[in-house]
Amino acid sequence: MAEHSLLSIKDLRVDLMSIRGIVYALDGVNLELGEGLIHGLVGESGCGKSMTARSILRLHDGKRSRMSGEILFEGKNLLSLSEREMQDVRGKQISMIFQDPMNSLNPLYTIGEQISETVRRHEKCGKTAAKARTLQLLGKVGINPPDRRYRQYPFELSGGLQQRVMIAMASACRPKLLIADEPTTALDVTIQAHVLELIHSLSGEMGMSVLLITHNFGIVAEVCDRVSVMYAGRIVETADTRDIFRHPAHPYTKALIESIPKAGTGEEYLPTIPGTPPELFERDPGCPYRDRCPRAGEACKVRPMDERIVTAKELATEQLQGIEAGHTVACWQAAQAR
Amino acid sequence: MFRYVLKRIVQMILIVLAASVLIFVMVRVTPSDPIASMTKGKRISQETREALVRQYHLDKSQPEQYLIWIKNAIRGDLGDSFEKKQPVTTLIADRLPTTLQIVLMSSILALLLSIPIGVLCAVHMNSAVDRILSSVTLILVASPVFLTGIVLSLIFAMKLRWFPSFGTGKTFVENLRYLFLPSLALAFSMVALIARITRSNMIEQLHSGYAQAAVAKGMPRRTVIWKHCFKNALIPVITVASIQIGTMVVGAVLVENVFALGGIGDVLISSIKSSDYPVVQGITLLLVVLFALINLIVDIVYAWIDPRIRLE
Repeated sequence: MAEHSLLSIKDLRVDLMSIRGIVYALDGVNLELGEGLIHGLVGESGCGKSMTARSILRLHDGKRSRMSGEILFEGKNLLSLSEREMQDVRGKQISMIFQDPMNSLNPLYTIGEQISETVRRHEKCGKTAAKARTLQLLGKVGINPPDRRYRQYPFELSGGLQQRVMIAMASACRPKLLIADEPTTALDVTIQAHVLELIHSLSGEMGMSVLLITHNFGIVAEVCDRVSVMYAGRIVETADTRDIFRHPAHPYTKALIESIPKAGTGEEYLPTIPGTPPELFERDPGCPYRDRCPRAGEACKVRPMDERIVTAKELATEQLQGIEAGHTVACWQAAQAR
Repeated sequence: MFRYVLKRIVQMILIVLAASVLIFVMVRVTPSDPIASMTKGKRISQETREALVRQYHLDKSQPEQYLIWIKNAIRGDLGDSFEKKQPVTTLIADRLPTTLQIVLMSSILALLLSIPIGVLCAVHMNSAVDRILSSVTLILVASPVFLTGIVLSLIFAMKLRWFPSFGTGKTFVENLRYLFLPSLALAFSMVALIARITRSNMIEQLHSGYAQAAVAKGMPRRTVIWKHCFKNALIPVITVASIQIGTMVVGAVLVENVFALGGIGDVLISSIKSSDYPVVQGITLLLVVLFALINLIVDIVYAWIDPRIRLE
């Protein structure tokens, strides 16, 4: 784990106003992102991965949501910045790419214009300088030949190239943090690897941290240094990637890893997790996973989650060997589980 | 782009030709006696009657009559009015400028009012501003043009005396003042629909992926709204506006009546009543051509806005 963290989310809560009532979408998320690391955020649909990502850039509709907690980025709390100050953070210090690159690009402007617009906005430079920078960026993300591509419109590009354009745009101002929200989900399998490789190499080259949101543990294994597992608006386990595959501590993480399809094992059935995640219309004082958890006990109903975040060091003193420091798990049963 | 425009022009010519056949046939299926229209109902001898029939080619078969009419029309001759014994082109030339000016002025007024209203409502969706503006525009569209015309005339012409209450001016600038109230009355009838289309499309665009991406890359709100979303919301707005502008050429007849302007609509209605074939045909054909021209302009604007149409 990094010495000091670039981004530190503390007890983040996001409530959404919906027609059916208040949804407690994020219920006390704690997350530390190290500098220069690729941090995976995994979980099933609707668990709050994207919500967490969008909260960092404050992309929610202010009228339909309320946020509390802290999002410290290089020591300053993003939640207390003014909208104007936030605009200077977005795209310059923290940028984001989305699941569907086709929808993330404006169909009516050339990709060159859309990238150089970002450069002009943050670097306060003229059109010529912005264009030169854009051409350089296009080359860097592997869109060739840059000068011809500069004049093309999004619909003239394949999905993979479109996502590369988004990456060029996101990395245009050398941000400290890139949030990638399922960047490969909408792409062909063959293209996925190229795009991941590009994100990986840019991260290394620019010392840029990446928060990689995915529901695919395979992707985590390939590129992430650390990983957090989310469930029902909370983070249930965080560890280094190698560690989480070797010693998953939370029952949910274990179940997730078991349900990764393995080729050539001859197994006919893919293990699945029975049940569905809880609806988040009420604040749950207990563990959100207890209804699906095979090891749930009385304790899981009453104890607040926050008390049950156990560090690996503490666990190691009991009976867990081999779990490295920095491995946190929000489960009361984790110790007995092994 | 050139090929696209060329294709649209050819299409337009074909549509106008097809419409001309339709106009010709429809005028002829109405049960009426054109000779009566020429003689204003006076009794005439059989010889005079036959002479008139020959003069206006009414003895020929209908396809032949059509060919004579359309050939002359292409040369710019729409024939003579049965009733007024004047060339139809002269009749049109006297009246068209007023109508066109009203239509143009009210289109501009309508767009200037409805687009900002639509965008404002979309940006502040479901707020008090949105509700008030939506209600006001709804009231405006629900009141008929002649009523709004009379009310505007009462307030601004009779009471406040800011504008003349009827007639047209002599110079172009004078005309702007004379035609302002009629144009405003006509514009009000368009504002609600265009504002609504603008609002709903802007809401859709403001929630789109690229709008979110534009916010996420630090674009100021104004840029996101106007540069990114508005341009995307524009195509349906233009479509609706163009259809409204087209129908307004006819709708202008109502305000022309209220403000005693004597536009083209007046002539059209009276000539239909008196079975004045050449006038009905001539004016209807002109309206079709105007419609087609508006469509052509709109098609070119589409291509100019949207590269997907331009590069198809």
